[in-house]
Amino acid sequence: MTVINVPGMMCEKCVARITNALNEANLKFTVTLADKTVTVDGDDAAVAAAIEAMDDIGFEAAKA
Amino acid sequence: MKEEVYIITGMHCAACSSSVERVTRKLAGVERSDVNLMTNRMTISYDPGQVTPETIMSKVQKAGFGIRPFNDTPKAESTKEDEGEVALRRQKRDMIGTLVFAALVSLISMGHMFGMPLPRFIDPAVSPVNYALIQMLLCIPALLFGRRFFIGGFGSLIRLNPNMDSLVAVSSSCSYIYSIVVTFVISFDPGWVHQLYYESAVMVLGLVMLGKFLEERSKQRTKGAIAGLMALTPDTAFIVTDDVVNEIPSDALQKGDLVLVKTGGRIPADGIVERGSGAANEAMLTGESLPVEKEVGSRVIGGSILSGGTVYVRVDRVGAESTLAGIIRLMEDAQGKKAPVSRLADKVAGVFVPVIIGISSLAGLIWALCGADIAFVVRVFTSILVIACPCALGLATPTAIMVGTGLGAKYGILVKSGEALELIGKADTVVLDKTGTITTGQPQVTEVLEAAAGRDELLAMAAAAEAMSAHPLSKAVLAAAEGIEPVKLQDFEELAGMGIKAVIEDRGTLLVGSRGMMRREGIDESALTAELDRLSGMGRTPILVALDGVLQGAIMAADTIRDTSRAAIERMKTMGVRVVLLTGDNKGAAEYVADAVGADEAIAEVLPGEKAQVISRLKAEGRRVVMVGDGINDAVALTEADIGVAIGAGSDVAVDSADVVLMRSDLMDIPRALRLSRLTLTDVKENLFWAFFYNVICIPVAAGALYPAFGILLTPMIGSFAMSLSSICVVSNALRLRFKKL
Repeated sequence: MTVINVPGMMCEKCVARITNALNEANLKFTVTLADKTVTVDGDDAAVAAAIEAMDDIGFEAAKA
Repeated sequence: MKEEVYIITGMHCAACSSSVERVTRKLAGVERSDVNLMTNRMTISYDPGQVTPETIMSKVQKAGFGIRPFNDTPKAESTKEDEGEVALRRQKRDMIGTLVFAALVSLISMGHMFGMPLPRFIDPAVSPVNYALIQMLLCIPALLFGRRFFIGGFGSLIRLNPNMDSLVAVSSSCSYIYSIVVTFVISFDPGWVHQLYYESAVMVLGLVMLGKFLEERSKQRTKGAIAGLMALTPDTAFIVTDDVVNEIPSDALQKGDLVLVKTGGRIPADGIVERGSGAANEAMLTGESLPVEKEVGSRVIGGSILSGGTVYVRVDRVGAESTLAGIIRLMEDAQGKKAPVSRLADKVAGVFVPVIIGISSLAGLIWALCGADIAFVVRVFTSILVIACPCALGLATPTAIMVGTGLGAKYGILVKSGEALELIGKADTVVLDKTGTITTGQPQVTEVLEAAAGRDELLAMAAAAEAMSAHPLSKAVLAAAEGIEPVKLQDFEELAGMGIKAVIEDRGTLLVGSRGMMRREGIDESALTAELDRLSGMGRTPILVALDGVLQGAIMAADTIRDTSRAAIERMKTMGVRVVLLTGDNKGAAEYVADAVGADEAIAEVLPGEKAQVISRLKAEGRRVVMVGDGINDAVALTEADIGVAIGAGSDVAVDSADVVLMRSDLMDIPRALRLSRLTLTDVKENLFWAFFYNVICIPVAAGALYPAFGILLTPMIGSFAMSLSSICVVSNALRLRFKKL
């Protein structure tokens, strides 16, 4: 489990967009709006894929 | 380069608009892309050789938004609708639908108890089956209007993550299914006709929907207030290029553009006045009701109204960087982050739901084992579920915080998070940066000390010299010398950090400057030494004037204390807060100001870099510290403090590091913020009380604890009524906060 900070996550819409993007990347994850984090269940490659997927839809993301 | 405007749909918050900007800016060949959240427009300029509209559109769509080219029909814009508004209207429609049918069912099932006659064909005494059937049918549309509770509620129950909706769904469907069974029983035993619970099945739903609607509406109102403010940006701007004025859409403005604003016009973007002068009304941004004078070099804020004059403004911030966008971001941040109190409420709710389902099952089981009939058991089971539904618990914190944030915004107090709103009122120490916070940061002449020359003559000489200088003290001297004819000077020379040297024809060399300068020039200041020492100790800065080697006198200037500082500090002290003054000035000056405003303590001679250390030292003493500051050099201290407050919409860095931003430069807003926080917190606690009050009282009654002795049992109907009463209490208690004065 790796926690990724996504400071730009602000509303439910953001959560929905991130969820969609990560689903498309076939990842196992949870999105928490309250903490502005995404927790990815997987190896380093999965984490990198998640960060890239989020970057692609306009979110700055970095490992916590 | 090609410039185009697109309409983006589906954006909710500032993060959405900045996402769109980011993904489009990343495309090779895109030079610039600005997205305006309020108008839903994206202005993009790109190299058509490298990028096509198709790539842009697919990129935005991939990021999860709708996009279409903007065709200049104003209609397209007026039909644009806020998604929140649409959702709220749908919610209202569903709620009214459910309530209308629930009311009809209740009228039929209970009307005859109050002597209201029913048509013969559905009279329970004459045709009990019809009476039951019509209720069953009328319930169907009510349940359909409220279907989202069932879908969501059962869904989360199955995922073993029950929430409020689960409770509503379980209790409502229990009542309905039970009543359907009873309806069949009635056909061969009409005595069962009074055991129907159709009305409670739908009334619960209707009342919960009413509660949720009120919550959503208050949320929407807060949003609406901000949106209304944002909508103030004019649609078009008058851009000046080579002395030719053109009207273009405001969104198309770029940094560096020059725009013309005339009397009564709205300023289209943030910028600096380059030509002309006027007065701007910034009330909706800062709460400051008086128009603010604008002259060459003044900063103007996009969205404010030019109430008089004509100005040419050089635009320097557009899109997401603008002040307005910053305000939206703050407000959204505040609503997105949960306050610690609300996390508690969530936790409680997570435990509450299974416990209540457990209690109701247990109570039902006990009654069943005691030989109660099935109708009684179901009745107990459903009424516990209904009464316990702690929807009001879910409403308690968010409504109060929502209303509190909105109330603060009305006073120009922007709170970045629920956490900050909660914490600031708990602070016991407020640290104020002196310059620019307690004082205006603009020195004024306080005394004129006469030696060889008289007051007017001194000012005439000093003003003539200072007129050439850009030193902050010069302004003070010039203001004091207004109406006095300055002397004529020759051979003007400015000695950095010291003062000014010039020649007055036929009278000799004039020196205007610090004591250090006089010492260096060998001027004897003994005539004024004692007085100069005394006043310097009070924080005055002396400007000495010497002519032809003889001291003529001195002008003393000091930073002026803001009118409201004393009253504000007085008020903070009565609120039980220790007020500490922080300054880089010497001890004497610091203590003088601290004394003048009534601060408890003055920490003097603090270098800008040491401010944060002072804050951590205070924190180490176990104090909860609020730091108030305005400058870039305060940023670290603002972050270090438990709560950082940026005052006067200060520098951007300060605003970014702060938890609370005061749009006005009025120290009174600090006690107001404290009061806002305390009021909100009290409101949350009252709300939690109201939310639990009904539940705690009613659960044992609903479980049948009073039945053996008194025959009193909570019917599902009364249960749902009590519950909605608690929701209404909570919501109206929160809305009450709106009318508080800070």
